[in-house]
Amino acid sequence: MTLPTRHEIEDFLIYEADLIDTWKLNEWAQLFDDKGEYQLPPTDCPNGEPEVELFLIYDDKFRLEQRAIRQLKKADHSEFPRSRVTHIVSNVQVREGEDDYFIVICNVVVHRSRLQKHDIFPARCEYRMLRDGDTFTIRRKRVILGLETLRNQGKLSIII
Amino acid sequence: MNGGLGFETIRDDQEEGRFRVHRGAFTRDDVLDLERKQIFDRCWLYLGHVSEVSKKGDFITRKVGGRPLIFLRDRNGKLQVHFNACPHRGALVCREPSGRRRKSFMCPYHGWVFSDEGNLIETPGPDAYPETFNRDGSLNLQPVPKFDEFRGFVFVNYDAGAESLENYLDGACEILDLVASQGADGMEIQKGMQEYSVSANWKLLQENSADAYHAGITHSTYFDYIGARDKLIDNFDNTLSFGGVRNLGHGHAVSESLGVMPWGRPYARWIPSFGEDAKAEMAVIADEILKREGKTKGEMIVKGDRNTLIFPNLVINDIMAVTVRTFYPLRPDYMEVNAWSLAPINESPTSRERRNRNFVEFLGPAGFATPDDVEMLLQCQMGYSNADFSPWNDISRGMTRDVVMKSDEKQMRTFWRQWDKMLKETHVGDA
Ligand code: FES
Ligand SMILES: [Fe+2]
Repeated sequence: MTLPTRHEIEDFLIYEADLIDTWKLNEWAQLFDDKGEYQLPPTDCPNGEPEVELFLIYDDKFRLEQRAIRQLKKADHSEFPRSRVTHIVSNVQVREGEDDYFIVICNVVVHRSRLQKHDIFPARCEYRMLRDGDTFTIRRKRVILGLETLRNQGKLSIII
Repeated sequence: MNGGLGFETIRDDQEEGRFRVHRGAFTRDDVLDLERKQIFDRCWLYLGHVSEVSKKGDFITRKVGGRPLIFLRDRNGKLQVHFNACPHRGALVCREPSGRRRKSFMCPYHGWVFSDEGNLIETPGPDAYPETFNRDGSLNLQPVPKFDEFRGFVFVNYDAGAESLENYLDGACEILDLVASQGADGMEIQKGMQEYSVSANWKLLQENSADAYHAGITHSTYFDYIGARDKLIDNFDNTLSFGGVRNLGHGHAVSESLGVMPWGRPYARWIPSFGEDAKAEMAVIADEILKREGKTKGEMIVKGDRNTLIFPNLVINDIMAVTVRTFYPLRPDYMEVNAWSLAPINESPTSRERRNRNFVEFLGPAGFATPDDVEMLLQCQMGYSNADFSPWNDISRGMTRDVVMKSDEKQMRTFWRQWDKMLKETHVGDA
């Protein structure tokens, strides 16, 4: 498999970040393929595996689609009124994967502003991705927070 | 009598069927000062679970009731709980959240060394202290006044004269026993701790954690989600007008129902999204429990959903998985929250995977429900800024009903009556 260039991947990651920041969350969910997963390990066990350790997010495709649907509802109280969300994407690496996917690693800093509170979520994102024509699909996105705990932020009600 | 606070904290009118709590109870510094002294320094507070220090030399550090502690299993297999503060000049002796195979702890400041039993065993540099140094043990790591265990749950008490843990737990012993009986080989706290916070008064989380009344409204998006998934929700009464609430004594209460909630339970209520393959294994799990514990208790374990409040700040919710949750106020409008998953030891990998997936569909700071709870608590706290003109919370639901339902507010009244009593109690030695 020939790996995509970093430039191609950066375009894709910027597109993904833009979908999240502009609350086009259903479109974001469709970036994942049918076996797509969205995962977030616990802050005290960043290198854990979700079958074993209790993750904070352990979404299969159905659940991540539902997460998007939920967040767009008025009755998602934690995001009504909605946060202003700003992703900064950086430090992109493209690596060989296994089977049919390749690996993308990047850092993000996500700013969230709501109810006069400004939260910052730094994270390392590890993707398993596939080429799909002239674009890509996500098989798995794992978000490893660069946070010791969620004490400062209190909760995680946006997509990273 | 109001503990010297100068305002009426609760109004408990049984004849009228009205129960009110003054919103000053959530906002005032003097209330929190009194709570620390009268409640947190007198009640049994949850520290941790024996499984967190299962082997000799295992230790964890944790703040309980605002105080940093070291909880460990010593070289003889005995549990120890020390204050994590150096008797020399006060530094935290242990800075790691957890570790293993530890026989001693060296203070990082001047290098005093303490054994796992807390004894001072080394002070660097010769001849500085007289022979009599530490003969009275005052330079050892200080033990907490009391700690004890019930069915694997370990509690501390900062009042040396406190009643026994089992007396204190009262009717909640039954609930702890029910969750402790899920696994044939006992239960363990899973790795993956949820450490978050809520900018609201701590008592709001105790109220919320067993409040079935809010479920259908606050969590409508969660029920939409499981409705879309399992198509089992059409006959579900989302006002939760079923089940019941029991006062368990000492301010503890449980809101419970048997077999009617629409979510799955890894131990052991199958739902379509667990998959056909899971059906057989879950039947075996249920069967083992029913055989081991008998029909009545066994059905409570496999079919029951219970939200339990253990006074003052422990929640055991046995719902789509088992969560153990505790919290402590740093300010009247801010609390730190710690939550864990309690799971059967030696659970099969497939069952553990189902549990992990099921737990976070609802619970935790990134689940489909907990963030909305956090939001509601924030909203309440903001509303309390109007306490001067809009002073009372109403907690009367179901007060005049003969048969109390799960969605009534009896569990909150149980909490508040104990809270008010303890806040106003005078103790021997009080000025
Ligand atoms: S403060 Fe611990 S050795 Fe001095
Ligand atoms: Fe809730």
